[in-house]
Parts: sequence; C-alpha cells; structure tokens
Amino acid sequence: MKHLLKLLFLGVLLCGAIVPALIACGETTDCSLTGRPSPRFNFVNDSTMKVKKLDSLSVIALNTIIGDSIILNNEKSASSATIPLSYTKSKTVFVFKYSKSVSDTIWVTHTNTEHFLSIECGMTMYYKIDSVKHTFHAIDSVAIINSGVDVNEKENIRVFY
Amino acid sequence: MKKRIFASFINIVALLVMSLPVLAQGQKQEIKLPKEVFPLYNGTFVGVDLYGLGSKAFGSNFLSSEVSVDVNLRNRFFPVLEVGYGKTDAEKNSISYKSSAPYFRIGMNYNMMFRKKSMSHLYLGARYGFSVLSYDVKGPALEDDIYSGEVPSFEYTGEKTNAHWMELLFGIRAQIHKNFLMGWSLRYKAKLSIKENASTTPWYIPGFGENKSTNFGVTYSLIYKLPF
Repeated sequence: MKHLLKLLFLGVLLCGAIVPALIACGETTDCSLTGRPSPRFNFVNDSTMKVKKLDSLSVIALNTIIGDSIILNNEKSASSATIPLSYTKSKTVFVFKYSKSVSDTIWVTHTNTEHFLSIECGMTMYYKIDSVKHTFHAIDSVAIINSGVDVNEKENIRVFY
Repeated sequence: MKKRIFASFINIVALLVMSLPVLAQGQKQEIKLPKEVFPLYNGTFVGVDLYGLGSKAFGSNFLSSEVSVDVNLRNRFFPVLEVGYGKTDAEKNSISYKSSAPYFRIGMNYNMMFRKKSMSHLYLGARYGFSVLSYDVKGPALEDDIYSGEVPSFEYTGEKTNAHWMELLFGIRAQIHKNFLMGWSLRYKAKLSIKENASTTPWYIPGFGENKSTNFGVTYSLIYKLPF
C-alpha cells in the first residue's frame, strides 16, 4: 500500500508536467474553420435535376472596398460557389460571369446578426437570407434551401440552369 | 544536467516497476478473502478539489473548486455527487468575458482493487455533469474587410445558457493518515449539448472547461472519511 501512496505522489509530480501537455493536446481551437460565414450556392441542371458543372465561372462582388472584387476567377467545371455577404448592408450584389458575353446578376437580401464565437476567434456575422433575385440570361430559377448562414457550412441557395 | 534527468527517469521507472508487485499481491490475496467480508455500507467520504484552485496560478483562465461526497458500497461501487463553482474573468484580443456559476456531477467509481481491505485503491469512473450559467461578453467593433463598413463594438450581459456533458475517469486514492486520504483523477470529458444564444456562443462552461466538443481535466483532492 505504501507503493500506492508513492504512485499517488508520483502522479501529483507528473501532473505538473504531463497534465498541462495533455490538456493542450485536447481539441484545439482552430479559428480558420469558423472563418467568415458565407452562403454556398449549388448549381443544378433544371431538366435532369443533377449537379450542373459550369464550363467556366467567374464571380464578381459589386460595391466592395476596392470597387468590384473577383471572388472566383474563371473556375472550370464549377458546381458550387461560396460568396461572402456584407456585414453592414442588408443587400449584397454580385455577378456570375460564364463567358465574355454571358453573365447573370444576383441580389441577395439578408438580415445580419453579429455573433460572438469565442475569446480566441472573436466576433463574426451570421445571416438569414430573406430573398434572392436574379437576371435570367443563363439562370432559370433559384431556391433558398437553408436561410441560415453560420459557421456550419451547408447548401444555402440552389441555382437551376 | 543530462545525468540528473537520466537519474530522475530511472527513479520514476523504478517506482512504477516497484508498484506492480503490490498490485499483483492484491490479486493473490483475493483468493483468501471471502466475498461477504464487505458489508453493503463501508463509509462516506468527503473530498475537496485543490487542482481547480491551483491551476489559475499556473496560467489557466479558469478558477474552480468543488466538493465531492461518495459512499463505499461493498468496497466496489462508489456512487458520487460532485458540486462545484467555476469562474472566469478573461481578456484577449480586446474581448473580455466574465462568467461564474455552479456545476453538478453525478456518477459512480468502480474500485479496481475491491478485494483488498484498504481505503487506498485505483478506480475507474463515469460522470454526468451539468451547469446552468450566465455570462457577460464585450468586445471591439467588427470591420468588414471586403465590402467596407464597421459594426459597432458589442456588449452582451446576462446571457443565459445550460450545458450537459459526460466524463470518463481514472483515479488513485491513498490513505495518508487515519481517516485522511489524498487522490487525483484524470478525466476525459465529452460535451453532450449546450444552448447557444442568438448573438453569442458560451466560451466557458464551469466544470467542463472551454466550450469544445472534448476536454481533458484533472482533480487533486484531499478526502476525509466520515467516522460513521
């Protein structure tokens, strides 16, 4: 039993060295995973209802800090796109450009709710998508699948071609 | 220096090796002791955790303390209730977070050396824990680095939530003098659920630690066996 007592004291000594390391080895906070919550657009063929792969897709966000910003640049075989929304405005506008001559403009109206994640990752913005409007050059229709946009990435908007 | 580290390492290994025959001896003795030697009730133990108080001094953001009460049944099963209080007052990246609340755990320890007639033993255990808490958080403005603009600084006070979790643990308890014992336990904690608020996610859960899916924890307790 004296040895058990020794084990106890040994454990106490080891606690000082091992336990902080063990605790540090627990799941670590990775703020890059939480990133900037953004809605995901999935593309679907309207007639077959299967995934639509666009030959080429560029996404340009309008009215950004530098004017217009390219979010996606000539992506080949694109079947989805994740596009950030504004923190402060309730409407975000962007253009889907398929070729030099064909493009669609999309208007997303959203409600913004700031959200505290953790003391390491700070604040971010959650959204509720209220409505989506678009031009009809290549897009047939759109549907809001999940209106909530948060750190759990999921399909939010389905775009039918 | 290297010699010193090597000598310490040899000491630790020797201590572990020396303890094995003692544990093995426990196995041998079990043949001699009939099962009915232990009555249903073998005493009540009250413990106070010191690790939660001490960890703050070693740089942890969290301060906690807890009291445990467990009952020895047939020297094998130790149903246990743990009641504690956790507190944090942390500041990082210009964000400050405050919370303090009680927490509760209920569960059972299983004495791995139940055939030995001794208060000292190794054990495995499981716990269900929960805490009902509120917290305050405030921080700086949120700048939109894509579309421009700034969301003003935020402050939320009295955000209420509740959290539930499970723990699996391994521990040692050893008699140091008469009815006084010391013990430590190493705990693996898994979150079951937590209520998120519309504008905030709780960062600290008393009794569980940081709000992650899993955590490790430690208790180091002074224990007293009640004289009845």
